[in-house]
Amino acid sequence: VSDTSDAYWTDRRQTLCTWIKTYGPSAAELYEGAVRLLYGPPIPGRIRFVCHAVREIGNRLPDAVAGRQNKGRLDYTSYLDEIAKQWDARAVQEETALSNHDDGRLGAREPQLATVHVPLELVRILDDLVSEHRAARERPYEKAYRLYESCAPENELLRGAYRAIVDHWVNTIRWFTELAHDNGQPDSYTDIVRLRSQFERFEEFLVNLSGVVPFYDDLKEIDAILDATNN
Amino acid sequence: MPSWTPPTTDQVDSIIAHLGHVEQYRHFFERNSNPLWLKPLADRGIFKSPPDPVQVDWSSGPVHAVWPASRYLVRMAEHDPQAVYDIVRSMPDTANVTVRRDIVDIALAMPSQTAAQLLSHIIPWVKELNDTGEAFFSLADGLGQLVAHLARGGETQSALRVAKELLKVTTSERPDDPGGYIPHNRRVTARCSAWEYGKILERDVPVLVEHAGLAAVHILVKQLKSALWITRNSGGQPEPDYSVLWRPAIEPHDQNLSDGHDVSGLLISIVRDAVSTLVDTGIFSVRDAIALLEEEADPVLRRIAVHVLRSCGERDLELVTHYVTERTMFDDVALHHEYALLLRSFFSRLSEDTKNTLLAWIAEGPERTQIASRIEKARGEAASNQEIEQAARHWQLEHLAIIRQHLPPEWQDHYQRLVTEFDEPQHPEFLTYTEVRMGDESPIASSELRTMSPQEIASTVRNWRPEYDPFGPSVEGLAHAVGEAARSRAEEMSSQASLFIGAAPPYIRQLLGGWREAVTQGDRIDWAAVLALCQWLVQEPRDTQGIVLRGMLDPDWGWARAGAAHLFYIGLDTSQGEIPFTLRGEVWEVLRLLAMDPDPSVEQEVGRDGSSLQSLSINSVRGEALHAVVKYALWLRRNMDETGDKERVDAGFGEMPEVRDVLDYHLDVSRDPSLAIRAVYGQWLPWLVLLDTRWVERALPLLFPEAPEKEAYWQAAWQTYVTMSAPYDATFELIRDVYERAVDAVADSVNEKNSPDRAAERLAEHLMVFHWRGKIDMGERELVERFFTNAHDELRGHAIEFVGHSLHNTSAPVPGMILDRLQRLWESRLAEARCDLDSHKRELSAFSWWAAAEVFDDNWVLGQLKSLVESGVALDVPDLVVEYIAKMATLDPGESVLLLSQMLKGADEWSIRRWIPEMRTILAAAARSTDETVSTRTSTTIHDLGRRGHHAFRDLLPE
Repeated sequence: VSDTSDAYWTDRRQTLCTWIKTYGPSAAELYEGAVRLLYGPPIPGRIRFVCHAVREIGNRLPDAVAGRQNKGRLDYTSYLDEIAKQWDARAVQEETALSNHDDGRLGAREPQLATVHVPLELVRILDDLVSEHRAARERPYEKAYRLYESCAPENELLRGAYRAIVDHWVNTIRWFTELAHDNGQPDSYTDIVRLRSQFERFEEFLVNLSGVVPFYDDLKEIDAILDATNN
Repeated sequence: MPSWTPPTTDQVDSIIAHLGHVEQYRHFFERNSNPLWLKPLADRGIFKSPPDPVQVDWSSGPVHAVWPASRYLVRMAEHDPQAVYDIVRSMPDTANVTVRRDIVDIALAMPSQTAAQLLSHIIPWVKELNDTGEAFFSLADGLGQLVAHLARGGETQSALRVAKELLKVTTSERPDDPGGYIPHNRRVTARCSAWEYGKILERDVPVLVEHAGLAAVHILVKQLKSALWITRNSGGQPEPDYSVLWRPAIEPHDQNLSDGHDVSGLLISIVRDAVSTLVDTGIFSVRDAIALLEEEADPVLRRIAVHVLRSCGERDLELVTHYVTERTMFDDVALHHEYALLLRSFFSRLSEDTKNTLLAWIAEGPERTQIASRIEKARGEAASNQEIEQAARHWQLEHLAIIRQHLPPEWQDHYQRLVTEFDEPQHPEFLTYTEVRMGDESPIASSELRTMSPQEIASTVRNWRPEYDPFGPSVEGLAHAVGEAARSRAEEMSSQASLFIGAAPPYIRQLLGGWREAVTQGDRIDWAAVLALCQWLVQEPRDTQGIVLRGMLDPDWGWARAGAAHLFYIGLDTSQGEIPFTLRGEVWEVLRLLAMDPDPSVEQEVGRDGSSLQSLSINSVRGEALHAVVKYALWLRRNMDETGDKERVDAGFGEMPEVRDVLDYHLDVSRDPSLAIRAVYGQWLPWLVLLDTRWVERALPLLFPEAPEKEAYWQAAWQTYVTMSAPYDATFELIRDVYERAVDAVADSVNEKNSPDRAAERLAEHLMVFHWRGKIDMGERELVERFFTNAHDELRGHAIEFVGHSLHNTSAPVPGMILDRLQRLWESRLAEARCDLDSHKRELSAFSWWAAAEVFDDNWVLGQLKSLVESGVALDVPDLVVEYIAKMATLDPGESVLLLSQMLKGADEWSIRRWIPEMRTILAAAARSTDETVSTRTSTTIHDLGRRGHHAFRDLLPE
């Protein structure tokens, strides 16, 4: 791969990019950008840019391939603003209800169960918030597993056996995630050969999952590795 | 020797990234023969997650999928047992039985010492085994082999541990009686099927016995005792030992009901063989072996002990003498078989004193009071002294028969006298002996009957009387033999038919049946003589009062009369052996009377319709006679045709007034209200049209009455007509309005695939035929259009499928005009279906039959198929369609491979496997194409097939 030409933008990478594009044009841009940063002329900060791109693709692709809507980062502030607005609009009515009830309770000899009527609109907002919060807290393994289930539904009978394979995908993404944060070290502190090797592994996962490489070509690659160790 | 290189980190990581799809995963592990991959793969956790069973479809059990990684471990176990052992030890447990079986295979591939260390993993699985199906079969089989493997390798304690669990017996309720309402409802079961249990006992347990000796026998005896306990307590309360009933012989014997079939029987056999082996190999003395079995004080183990003593007694005659002179054993009926065989084997070697003791016991005979009590209990009245002494002599005979070859001369004479009195006992070593006999027995053997003249046979029929023996020769047995003689010696026997006048109904029935079969086979019979017998038969009073014959089945003369009607039906039709025309008067005289028979009655017809009425018509006297009447008319017509007298032919029933009179008579509901008889008219309608169209025109209002209260008569005639008759143009023209009424009613047809409305289906077939013949055109008011509007999808589909079937079965070229008409029909149906595909699935799917017929323009067919497949229609017979596409592959490889790839999308794996030869033809033709689009599609299809595990086409890919 040359740093001064586009030779690194191989047919396989272009095909993979096209596949990613079918699920998200922005993810495809991130992928292409990462390839160019990694194999093209060096640009300051490229290590973190590449790692950010890989992390984003790893986070977004499973939902996109599974046909789930990705709403981006969960915006808690907007949700709370909306809840507060609904709360204020209903506050007087609820306050009245509560105070009437309290009056009765103060006079009661035994404790009574209080029932608060929450407006349906408010419940809907709370429900959305809880669902999105849960989705955002989803563990990386589950997210990654969804990617495998979507790309390879035929693996259903060996679902359990895929745990180890999916873990490797998760670990690969995690490796990039850890480098994505600015730890105060310049690019030169990172082993670029290692980074490229990890990136190519990341690509291998995607190429295999996407099926963009014809099946028997994939087998040839497996055979080549086996033959190298079997003779 | 293979040379292996350890994979690099990069190679391992790369491989893992390549295993995203199951086929690549499988390929990698199947092709990998290098044990140096074990550690790096294990380090990456590849063996840490065996697949659990997966519930794919709730209609069946979970799938225990094959795990390619564990199969790889099985192969590697012989190369690096320690590495594989380490992997298996740290592998989490799984309920997947195929993975468990692989781990057992791993143990089998290892040295016994290493395998023994895996038992902490394996033993819990043995405890989880249960006899619930095939998935567990293979695991039990492997565990059995493991017992032998461990024993052979000196790990006897480990082998015993597995065997102890694997061979455990338990109990379950009978599956047909989960509530336990049937007495003795509990059965002995094992942790695997009885078949598998038997295989383990036969193949693996002897190895364990050889190496573990007494310890192995103890396990077997313990399990046998458990099984016997369950058997004796299956009724809720302890019962005596009845093993002599289900296991009459300890040795292998035809009398044993249980050999190889039930767990208790299998255990008896293995304990027997194990103990004998230990004695044969000198590990046990005979006395030790017998003592081991006797110490349990169980009747079955005692039977086994006596059996073992018989097979090894040569080594200890003193012990044999002790056993045979033990009076309790001599008298023990449960021990009778084994004792008898022991006595027979050693009697000649016993001392004279011992022999005399035994003969004295026999001479003394059984306790007379016991005999008296047994007879009284069985018969309900006291036995006479004579009867008691007779029973005692019979007992003596049975006991002497056991040792008859060794009897002293004075006893031989006594034995012969007893034989003269009672007959030679056939199986004296058994108290009861079971034999199976089938069918009725004839008092005269077939071979003897063959040598008898008709006169002798007739004499036997007149004079023979059955005895009061329910299992002895019967009237039906003799009648059957006589019928067989009538069939095999038809001409000779029929010429003497008059000899049988006066015989009982079963004989006449069988004689007529025998002659009917002979005529069907083309043999000649003497019709004049047979007609004379039939004339006597029809003039006999119908009931059988006065004929008292024990064992006679026929309730009256009805069955014999039906036999006569059926004989005429055949005789008026068969060209060879046909009734001579000169006998017209005699034939009619019999038929006329048979047609007046009271069978069938209206009561027999309650709840019947359609085919059921038709069935009644051919299984009743009057019904079969009416069928024969039509055959008679056709017989006359054939003879008129042969004379060439057109005028007589045109006169129709005018030339056969007797037929017209009978037909008119039975069409009158006040005289014959039977629906079954009306079904006869329906069945023969086209032939009645042939015989006399004018008569049919006049009879139609009676045959298909429009009055609602006579709907049942309309239905009886219509349903039988439409289901039994081919579509004939002349009949259609006469009864077009009847068809219209049926088409309007077709909406009420029941839409059940497994129980179709046969009349509605046949109506669809008739309409399709009349349409392609041009008798009915398309158009809103026409029958075909009305039919498709009224019919449900299943019925429409039947019509379309029928057309396809008919074309497929036509060997001659189909005229273009017919094909054009059918193409227009299909296109109109497809246009209609496009508006609502869901309501036309069955109809559209049936087009595959049209394709399979290969009579239409191929481009048109491919276009229709493509359109259907693109619309997501599941084709009715995809196998035939793929076959058709394969034939078209050379003509149009592009369209063929496109169609195939579309069909593959919705195809299940079993279909794909069936299509392999055709797919190869299609893909090979397409692979030769120079069109880049076609070759790309071909390659994609081959890769897709590979991804689904079908690799038979890889060689068709371009280099």
